[in-house]
Amino acid sequence: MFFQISGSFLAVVAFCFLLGVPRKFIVYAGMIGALGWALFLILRDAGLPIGTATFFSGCLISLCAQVLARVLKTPVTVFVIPGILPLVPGAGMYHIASSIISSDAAQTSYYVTETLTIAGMIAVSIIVVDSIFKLLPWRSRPRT
Amino acid sequence: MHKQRCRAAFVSVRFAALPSEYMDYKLLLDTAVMAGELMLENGAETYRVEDTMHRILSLSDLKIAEVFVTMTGFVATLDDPSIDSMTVVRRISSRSTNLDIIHRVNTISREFCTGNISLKDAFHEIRDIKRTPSKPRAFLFSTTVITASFTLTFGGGFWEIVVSAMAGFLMALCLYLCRRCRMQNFLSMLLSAAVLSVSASLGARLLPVPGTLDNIVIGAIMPLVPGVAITNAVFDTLNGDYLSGIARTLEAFVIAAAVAIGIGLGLGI
Repeated sequence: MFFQISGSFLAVVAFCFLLGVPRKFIVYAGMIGALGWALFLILRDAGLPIGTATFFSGCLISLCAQVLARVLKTPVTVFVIPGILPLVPGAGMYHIASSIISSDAAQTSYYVTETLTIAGMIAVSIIVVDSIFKLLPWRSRPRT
Repeated sequence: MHKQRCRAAFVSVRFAALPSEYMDYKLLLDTAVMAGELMLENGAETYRVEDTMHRILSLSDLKIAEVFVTMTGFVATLDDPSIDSMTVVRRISSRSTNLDIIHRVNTISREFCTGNISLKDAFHEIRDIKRTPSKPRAFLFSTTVITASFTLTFGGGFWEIVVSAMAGFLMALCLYLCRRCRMQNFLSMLLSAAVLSVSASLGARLLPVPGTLDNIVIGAIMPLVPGVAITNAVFDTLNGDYLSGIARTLEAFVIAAAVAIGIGLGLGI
């Protein structure tokens, strides 16, 4: 588990270079990504369905990103985009492709549903946290 | 030419009335347009671009300061009974992701809107950003690191990580070459995904210890997944920008389809 979490940190940091995240924010982004992935692993190992686990870790990532973006005065996407990357259903895409290749219709529809669920859960978690932050009274800088 | 004359006439009128409040509207519009162009080209959400441009234009205190932004271009206009209206249309044809530029433009516009820097300074600073070419830093190397560490993230063993790094490097090379010859995004994604899965399955067969292809491909696929498109789609939809939200959702699906087809082709071979 330690290796997996440090792997996600490294992956997010490397991805930050591709996305051009400002240099001083790269470590924060990596920590957000690793934190989210750690929560996901814990929840998944605790037996939660993958959709729920994705939702909660997406919420954590989004929460950290919103707070940091306000503290450091930068657009929130600077942290959200790299942060959610470990959650994005790349595995689902691969499984869809491989089950289509082996013409297994049942597997295909299972993986399509799962991939869409994960993507939808990521979206919902971002929406929920962002909406809550919009309610807060100290939203004096809406552009952050 | 015509615009310049208008401005000269207008400036003299306005200058007489409000000596201290004088503002170069043309320069203001240019600044807003350049900021919007940079943000849109570098993958900012549509509502953020609209908001930034609107804030800058609102500083003019003219009656009408309107901005309309879509994913592929924008219109900005400044109008008042006292001046000839000014309208700028920009078509944005290439889009990529560079969060650093968004952050810098955002900072400048914030400083400008709170009055910390003058219009001229803001204009020059934004122009400097535009002039400095930004290349993704160490594209090949970071893609290799990404694929390797994502395989680690998803629980791969040592040899799987090695193969994944190799496949990731080949994929990045393919993606780089495709971009160099200005290939369509769909096709270049498809080709790179195919290269990835072919090299991953070859590598998995040559492994000294039995490993699973799954971990390798899942890790190596990650640089291609539409994470940026998903996030921006969510933010745009959330802010009521349904047109862009739908467009970006479609973008995410198209990217996902290209990658899945490429992986499928590679596995099928």
